[in-house]
Amino acid sequence: MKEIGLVVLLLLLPILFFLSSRARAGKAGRLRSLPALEKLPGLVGRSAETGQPLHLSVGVGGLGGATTAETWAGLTLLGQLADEAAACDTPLIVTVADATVLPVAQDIVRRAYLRHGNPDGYESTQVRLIAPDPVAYAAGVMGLLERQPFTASVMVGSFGDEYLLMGETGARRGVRQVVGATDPRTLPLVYASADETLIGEEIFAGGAYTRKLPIQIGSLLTEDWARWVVIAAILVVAVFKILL
Amino acid sequence: MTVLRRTLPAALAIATSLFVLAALFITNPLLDAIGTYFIDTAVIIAAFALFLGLFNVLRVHARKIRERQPGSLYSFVLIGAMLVVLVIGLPPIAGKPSGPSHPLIQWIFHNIQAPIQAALSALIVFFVITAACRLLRVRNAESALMLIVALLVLAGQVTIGLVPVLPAIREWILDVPAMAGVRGILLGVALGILLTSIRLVLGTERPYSD
Amino acid sequence: MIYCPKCGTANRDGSKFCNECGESFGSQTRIKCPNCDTWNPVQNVFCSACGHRIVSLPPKPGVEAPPAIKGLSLPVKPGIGTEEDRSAATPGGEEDIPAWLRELEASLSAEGAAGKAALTEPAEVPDWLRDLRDSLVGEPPEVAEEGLPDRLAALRPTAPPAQPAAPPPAAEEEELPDWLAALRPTAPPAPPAAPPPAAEEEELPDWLVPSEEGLAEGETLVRAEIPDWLLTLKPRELRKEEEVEAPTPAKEAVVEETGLLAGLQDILPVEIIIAQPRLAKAGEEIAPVIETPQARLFAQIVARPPTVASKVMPRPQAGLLALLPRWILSIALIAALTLPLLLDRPLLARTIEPAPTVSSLYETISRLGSGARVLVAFDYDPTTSSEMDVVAQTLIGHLMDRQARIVAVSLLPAGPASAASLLADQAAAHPGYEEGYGRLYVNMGYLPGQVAAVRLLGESLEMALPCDFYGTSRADLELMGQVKELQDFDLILELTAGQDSLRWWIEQVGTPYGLPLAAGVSALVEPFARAYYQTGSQQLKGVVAGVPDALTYSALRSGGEGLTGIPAARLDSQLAGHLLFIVAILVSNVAYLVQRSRRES
Repeated sequence: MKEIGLVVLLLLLPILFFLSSRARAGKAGRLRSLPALEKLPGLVGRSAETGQPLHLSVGVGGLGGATTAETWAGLTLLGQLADEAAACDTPLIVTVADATVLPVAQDIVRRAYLRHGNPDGYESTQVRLIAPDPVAYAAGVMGLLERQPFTASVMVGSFGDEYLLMGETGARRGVRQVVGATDPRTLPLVYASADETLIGEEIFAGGAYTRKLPIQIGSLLTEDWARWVVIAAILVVAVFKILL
Repeated sequence: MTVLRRTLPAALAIATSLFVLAALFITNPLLDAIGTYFIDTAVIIAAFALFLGLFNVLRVHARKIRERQPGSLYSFVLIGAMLVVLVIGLPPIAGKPSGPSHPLIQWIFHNIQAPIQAALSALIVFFVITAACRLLRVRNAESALMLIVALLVLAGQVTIGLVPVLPAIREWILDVPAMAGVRGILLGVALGILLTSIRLVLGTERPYSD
Repeated sequence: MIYCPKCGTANRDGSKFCNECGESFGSQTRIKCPNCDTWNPVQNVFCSACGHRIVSLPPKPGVEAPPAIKGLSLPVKPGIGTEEDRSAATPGGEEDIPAWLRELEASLSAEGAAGKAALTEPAEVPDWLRDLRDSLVGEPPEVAEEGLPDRLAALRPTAPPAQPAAPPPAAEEEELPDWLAALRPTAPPAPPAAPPPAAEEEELPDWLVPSEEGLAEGETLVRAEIPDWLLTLKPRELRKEEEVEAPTPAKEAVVEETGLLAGLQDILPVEIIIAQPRLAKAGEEIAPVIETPQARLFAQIVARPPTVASKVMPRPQAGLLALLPRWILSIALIAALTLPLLLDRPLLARTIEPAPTVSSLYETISRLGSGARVLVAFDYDPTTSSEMDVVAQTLIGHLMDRQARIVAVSLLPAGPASAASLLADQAAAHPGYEEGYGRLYVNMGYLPGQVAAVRLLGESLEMALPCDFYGTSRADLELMGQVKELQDFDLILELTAGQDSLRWWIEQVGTPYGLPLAAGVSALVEPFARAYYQTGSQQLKGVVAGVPDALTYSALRSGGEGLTGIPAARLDSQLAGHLLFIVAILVSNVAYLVQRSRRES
């Protein structure tokens, strides 16, 4: 099993580099439209005008475990939104559920304000650890959404059933919600309560759509190629089994 | 100095990732030892991060209390409960149980934490029913199909045998189309996780430096 | 008002973003990179993300500058900013004058005659203007049928010269000083398309012909006379005696005494009243002069009351009627779920066919011999304990019925506490187990590291489990002395409400070491768990999913009789909940369809 993993890794690396170089040369082609990501700058602008803060959650997962990639996807979007919020002087409140994510999120937001020449605009309490337990975290976010008016709530990361507590509260309060999750148990709940959704691997596309770095676009294209290979393999095996 | 500050964290992160990855794929005692050491270090760092989280929680809620913001009473309760549990759970006396196995901590867990968490979890039922009523409406053909499938699965879970074929239909729906969709999503997510992890290992995603 | 270019919404002046769609109206603090769309601080010349140049280079001379970006901030008349309007703006003939200016002139011309009459009073017109006007008025226009006079005809450019005027003919070369001749262009110039006709000197009027009077030796230009009006502006200190004195003003004009303007007359006096702040008198109104359409429009805009966009998002006002369905639904749900439990007896008699997964697990545990060693992972937290405790109790109970030796671990921090109470409860109900901690069952506590911890269990049990939940060393636990490695266990039972931990146990321990693995899961995880049961190698020997399966398993343990008592009441409660769900969804659909048909009709 390990050998198969190594082979897959070694096959993907050159494809990744090749497609990244194509993206750098501008030959990557167009990425399909993801309305959830296209609406994000508008949310920051709206928040800037109304003066109400923007809420961002990177999920209940942490860094270093099985949920690292989903949490990372949320942090990538946090980087983009923090940049825009710092440029527009928009109030931003980030809630995290895992202590390993807290210093990373604080650093991302702080650097964004520094980059835009507004170091005093950053407060360490903008990024808050609510609770390590997922349900307790959801309860804390519920309370936050109930007590304070928010322009929008962007929640991208690893979520479980407890998402519905936050999602329904936001929906009842009329907060615009952009939510991305990977757990198939959570996706129906996301679809029921969010205005815009990122389903499954779409949450990993945030960097490519917002920052448009060649390595991220190349990574998306590599995923597509790998997906086609998996589809072909499934079909071949299915046909093989039927014939035999 | 600036160059060192920018490249050293990246070099450290890439080297650590490659060591742990190599330890996973290559069977070598030295690599295993290094990989295990890094994983243990990560666990220790994660535990230390809990302290940072603790200070953050204290700072946020102390500020709420100081500024008398809405909900500051709950902040007061939170800080008070945190301090009580911390004090009780500290292991000052040798030979006595401490931490989670302390009888008082056990009492708090069974009589306060567990019921509150169970109650919060039970709230999900009420939210699910309102969300389901909002989502499962006949707006177009796709939503009508979704409604029919949802009703069939719910009816198939009813544990009285009014309509014998319903449980079989439910089984088929869960085993075939639902499972197919779930597996498709999971495959895509796995690929996304794989590529994201590769980008992290290669150091192309670097939030720790500009 | 600023109109959003994207959605057309009117926003307050000074808005940076649209209140409706959030479109940016142009930031004063940042610039967007045209290459990667990254926002950069306004002082950046190059993009901080991709390095692309943000601030474009100035256009090279001779290259036409790109058209200016149409401003977004002002409601403009149609046509302004387009090509035709830009060309119309270039100086030219009568058609280039904007309409509003033409109208203004037309309105002024009506009073122009009266104004002119007032202006011609000698007392008010300065001497220099009077002289100029006399000289112009005195010359009759000689247009008529004879056409323009020669002097003017000579001046009229018959065709635009492609090149600058040709250098003076060679015959005049000896008259020019050397320094001037050296400045002449050496390259033969292209002949002009239509050189102006050589003006014959005898035809030119006197004022055009340079006079040689007053020319000193070697001079070519006559020193100009400074007109009187210009002399009056000269500071007194610098005037010479022979210079013309300032004419005596007809009126007693104020002559400035101090400062830089000392000695000058006709200086506007300081309006003392300007220096003093004054309050507008109540009721004092200055009637606006509304003569032009622009002035009228301005007056309308000023008179309009300010409309400030609301900064506070309107909270959805849920009236009582809107909240009523939610309240009714909640009360009905509570009633449906709790009433059957309060009755304490089943409403319906039922016999349940156990699912194959349940039967399989029952058979697996039943085949365990007395003293079999079972590793039980309590991977659920209090959030799901209400469901998972039912599953765990029946499975642990069956294991204790079979006299199995139980080693409990947990991958969650809160797991060991749940395990401790559940094991204690079941031990109390099984003779021998109550005093059998350490010998018959142990709680080895929390295993940090998630998937890494599971892998470590497979590699080294001793390293993974050094002490139990209460801090007792493994060496002091008799049961742990019997298990040196993971392969010493006869069964691994995973109790979890999450698919991840189930996957970890199967991938890291079950499949690699070929150990028999079974699972007790929540209803949500059932589809995932079932998939592992259905594999050819049967990676899971059996699955008990949720309360219904757990109650079925209990029925199997009690001999396969029908469900009675509290377990049956629980199933009634679940049945009522399901039925309420179905009814609520159907009713909401009916209400929605009725509402939609009313709206459409």
